[in-house]
Amino acid sequence: MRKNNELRLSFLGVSISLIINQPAIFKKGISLYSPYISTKKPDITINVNYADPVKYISKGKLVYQTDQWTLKKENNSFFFSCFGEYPAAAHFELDLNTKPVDFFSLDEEGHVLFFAFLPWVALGRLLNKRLAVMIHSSGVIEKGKSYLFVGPSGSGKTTIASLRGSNRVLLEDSYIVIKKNNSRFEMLPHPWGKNRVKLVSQDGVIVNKIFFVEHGKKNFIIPIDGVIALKKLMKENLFYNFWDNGAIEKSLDFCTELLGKVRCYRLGFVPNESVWNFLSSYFKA
Amino acid sequence: MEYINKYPKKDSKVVSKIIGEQTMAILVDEKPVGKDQVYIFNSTGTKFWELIDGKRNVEEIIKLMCGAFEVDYEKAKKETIEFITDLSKKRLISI
Repeated sequence: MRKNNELRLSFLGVSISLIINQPAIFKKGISLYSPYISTKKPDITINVNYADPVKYISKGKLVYQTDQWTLKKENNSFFFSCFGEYPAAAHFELDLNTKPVDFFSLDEEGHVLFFAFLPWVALGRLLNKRLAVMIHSSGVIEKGKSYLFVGPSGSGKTTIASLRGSNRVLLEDSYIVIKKNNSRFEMLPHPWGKNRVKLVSQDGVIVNKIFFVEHGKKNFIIPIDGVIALKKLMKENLFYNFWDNGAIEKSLDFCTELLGKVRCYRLGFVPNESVWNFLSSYFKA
Repeated sequence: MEYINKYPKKDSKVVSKIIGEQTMAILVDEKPVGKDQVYIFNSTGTKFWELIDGKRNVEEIIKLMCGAFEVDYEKAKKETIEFITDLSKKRLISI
């Protein structure tokens, strides 16, 4: 039975229950994610505590960090800490469903909860159990074809996606979910992206090509395949598996199958519209 | 270090997949940087990787490599020891 202060969200079969005692955060969650509200039995529960996160920040071993947050480990527990304008902390086990996640913040807008913890930590961790992976990438649809631009921060995937011509639609510019639908691979923006396209359903669009992007002095393209492509793809997916051998094996199998179906290229580009003309010419030839 | 009678074994933190004649190995380790643990082996490395099972010693691996790639014993020994040393330094195997 759903509680009054529970916001239950479902995305690609992953169901997350948020128990929120702070009305403003609850209201924000409803306004942001109404298309994903669900009654499905939750895979994980997150207790959103309106409390100062400082005393919950762990001194455990640092295992991962971005420019916005850190992840530390102490015994079998993980500690998420976000500093800066919206401090937040969370405590969870490797298997997120073994006991509720505790999240702490005094931010009434839920910035870290909705735009960092949910997509990067909770969803990324759970998706690989559902024939899907989340890739650090941007997605663009042009003239009915959909392209995935993969690369680490600073590689240019956001730049290339932001060169929006009249025939192009930006799906998302930081993280794209790839899911398997029968024998097809589809991509869709994750539901917590700030720049996401509002999809009417959780169906994706078929992935037509994958580009591993880098800045160049001129536009160039080189077809790649096999383990070279797999290595590049796994590097942008590895974090979400949280050092879990079984999860990484699943991701590896998923990505291998994906690369068997979708052509991959290394794409160097100069940051202007010429790259799209270059791609158009290359694939016409 | 004299490896010849040692029994190298893949580390339990390694996940690997053979694709064609190549192998990708991932060290599932807890590191702040998180992305430097993905390795690729060519066809020779893939053969080594297949033979490293904790049951064969280095001497046996050398002899099997001689047969697989039609190289003389001394060359196979040199390459085997170099590869095993490298894998050990990367913590992909234990010796």
